[in-house]
Amino acid sequence: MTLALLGLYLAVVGFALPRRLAGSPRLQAHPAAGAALWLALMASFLVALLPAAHHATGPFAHEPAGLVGLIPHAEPAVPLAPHTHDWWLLTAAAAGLGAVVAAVGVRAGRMRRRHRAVLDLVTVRDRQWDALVLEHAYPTVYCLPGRRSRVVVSRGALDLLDERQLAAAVAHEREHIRGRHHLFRLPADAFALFLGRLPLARRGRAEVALLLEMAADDAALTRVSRSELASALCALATSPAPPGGALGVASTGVLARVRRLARPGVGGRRRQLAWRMGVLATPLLPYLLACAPHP
Amino acid sequence: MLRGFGDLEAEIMDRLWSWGRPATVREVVDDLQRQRPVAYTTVTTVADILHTKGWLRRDKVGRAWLYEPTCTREAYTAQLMHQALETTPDRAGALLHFVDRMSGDEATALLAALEQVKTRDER
Repeated sequence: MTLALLGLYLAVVGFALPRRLAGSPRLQAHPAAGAALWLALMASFLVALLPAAHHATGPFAHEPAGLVGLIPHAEPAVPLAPHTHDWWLLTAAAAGLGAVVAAVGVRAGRMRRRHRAVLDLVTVRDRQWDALVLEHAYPTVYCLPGRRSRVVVSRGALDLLDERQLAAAVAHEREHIRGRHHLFRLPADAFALFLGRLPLARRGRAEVALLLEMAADDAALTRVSRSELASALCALATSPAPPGGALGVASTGVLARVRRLARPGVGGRRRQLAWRMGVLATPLLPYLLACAPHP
Repeated sequence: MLRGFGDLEAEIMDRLWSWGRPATVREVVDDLQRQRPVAYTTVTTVADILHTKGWLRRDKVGRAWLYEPTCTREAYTAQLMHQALETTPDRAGALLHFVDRMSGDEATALLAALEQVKTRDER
């Protein structure tokens, strides 16, 4: 019974819900909260895996607990072991998880550090934009997040974009850095590394990345107009591909972002508290479902 | 994977690249000392390291070594750009790009969406 319910929960969170939520305009209306929800769902999935594995190995050994225990059930014919919490298993799982995320983070950090050292050598600081200029015809704008962050603008981008468009692109990158968006991507990346085929991992990771782009777009809108930002996006997205072939990843993200900028009501505040509680509660759901002790 | 240079390494490479001709350690030291005090022997050591790593070649002219970069700044930048642009989704966590490239048919839809944003801004 408990196992079946947990299995159902895993199926909903891991397979059904991601299909419904991907590209949802409701999540895109509040991108940061949307990204948080995806991460909460990933956490919730992992939390549910643990008791599911536990019950799968000894399905009938427990008294039902949690919400499952509230459901009327037949008195067992054989004596049951009392409901147990295996805290060591839990601690080990949490530690393992933390180690995985940290390892992915360290890898990304090392790559950033190397890249930064190279950038500092080959780029020239532009005082007007407080950005590093890379002397290359390929138009691109990107940032190196984290401590000692950098915003990089190529000569191609300086030539392609006008003053306001460039301001929009740079403002967008600054918001990535200020919002520490790379830290939000980290758990999603780590999750996808191990459960890459699961819809929750595959879609979730792409959606978190996209929602963070949208969050940076919104924040940049305090300094530039929608059309300035949108035209900068379009100019860069449709510029010729770099020499040497298949670099740069094709993505529908830009289209979604520009369409979103055309929609009314972007960037409003929602009932923040309720939302936050919901996001916080999601990872606890499986616990309440299967394990919470009865009063 | 390109390895970055250390601070002094970068400063030496930067000078040699901007001058575009072989130079002695003395010339580099003189130029560096306009900004901060730096010991001649330190620069000699670092130039020697860069030579060992293959970034500089050198010829003896009289009593001094003349140093010259083995690749141009552009070639080096091109490698760097390749590295930056090649950032696959797997490594995307390290860098955040303003925008990804898109295919031809998407571009049409994109420009239509841009028009909508513009009309919305004018209202």
